[in-house]
Amino acid sequence: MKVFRLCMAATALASLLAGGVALADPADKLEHIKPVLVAPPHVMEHEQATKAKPRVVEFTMTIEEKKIVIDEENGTTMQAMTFNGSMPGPTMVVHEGDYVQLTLINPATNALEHNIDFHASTGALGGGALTKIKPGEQTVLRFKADRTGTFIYHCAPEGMVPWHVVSGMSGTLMVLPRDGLKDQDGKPLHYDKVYTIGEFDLYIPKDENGNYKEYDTALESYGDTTEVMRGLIPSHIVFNGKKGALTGAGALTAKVGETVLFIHSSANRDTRPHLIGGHGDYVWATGKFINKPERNLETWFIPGGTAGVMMYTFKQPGIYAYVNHNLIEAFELGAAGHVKVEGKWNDDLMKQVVAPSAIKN
Amino acid sequence: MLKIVSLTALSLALLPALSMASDAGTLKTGEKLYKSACVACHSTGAANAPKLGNKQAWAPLIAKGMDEMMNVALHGKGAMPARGGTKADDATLRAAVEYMVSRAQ
Repeated sequence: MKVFRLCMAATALASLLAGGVALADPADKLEHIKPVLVAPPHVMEHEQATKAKPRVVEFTMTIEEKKIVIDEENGTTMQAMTFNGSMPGPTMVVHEGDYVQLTLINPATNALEHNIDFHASTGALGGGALTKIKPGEQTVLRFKADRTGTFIYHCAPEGMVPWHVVSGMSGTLMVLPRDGLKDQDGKPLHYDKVYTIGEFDLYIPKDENGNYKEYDTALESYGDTTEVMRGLIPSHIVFNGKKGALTGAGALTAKVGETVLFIHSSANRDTRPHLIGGHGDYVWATGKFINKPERNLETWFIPGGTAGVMMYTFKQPGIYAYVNHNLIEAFELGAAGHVKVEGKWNDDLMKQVVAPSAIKN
Repeated sequence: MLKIVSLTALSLALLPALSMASDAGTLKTGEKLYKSACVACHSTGAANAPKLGNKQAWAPLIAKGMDEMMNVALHGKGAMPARGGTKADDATLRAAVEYMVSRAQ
């Protein structure tokens, strides 16, 4: 009798599961929130440690194909493809166990088919196989963010993946542990502000006179661009879409005593960030918070196809440079930005004992 | 010389419609546009584009004739954008279609 009952119960459960696919989706019962995405280098408002239960976090991104200037001094242009009009695309932040629900829109004004592959997700080529949209279409993808860390997302249309990626279509999803970040001993770490930096290796073709070529449409740039790509030598390497995007008026800012989280994504090519005059206090170079952070790093290494994280508390004022420490890539090709830091100078940490002057005999 | 002429005549005769005949200059113009833009999809078959040189994929399109192929080239179809995503003029687009057709025969 008991066995029979168990069987009945199992059958009932099975039929409930089979018949209730549409009803019994666990994510449907959760609270849905719609945070507002902001343009890089800024990151959407978010909690670090949270008491909230897992939720469905809804985002919308619109793909924009457009010609951009990647080097203002020389007027060099690129036929870019972007998520939400920016390079990188906006950084999304959720917590472990949340569901990311993205509405991806490809307006009719675009020419190409696009999709999205989330490195944080599981299955269907990162969602790429479920999100193919032609101009004039949109789609909604939901996946469970069950691993913490910073993860790349990027466009990956079959047959022309690298071109879409190096043309600008990548960004970061940060999945925070529900109780926030921790140091190597499990003690809580807190940041006061967060910046997101996307590094892009660009492959702009030149004409027979050695001048960078300009194209009427993205597709017209395809053949020449892939030729340059195959050489594996970028013509430019830029942070956030153009040379100098994070300098001058675009410089990042901080204050002495402030702890800043730097998210650094590079969807295609290796990079090695370094903060000139500072360090990486806590670094998850491969970006995954389940691992212990490394400490006191001078330079860290982010493999192409990864988003990494560095946390630093500023101790001195001044203008810092945040660079890719292949210095040719930084200062010749463009992979450099500035952090302007206000505050009081600390003579104990550094002091100019004798200012530069003539050599004394 | 005579041999070349007769070969040309032969290949013309094999074309389903005389309107698809194209000279070497046109094919070169067409190849140039193909290699700058059309190649993005038609070399790999991205988004189900008929691959360059795939006779099986091209046969039904060629059978529909140049007017229909130009209609697709000008206005787009499925994932293919109007004018193949270029600002090429009609004659250059036609040359690119003729080039792709020439490679499928």
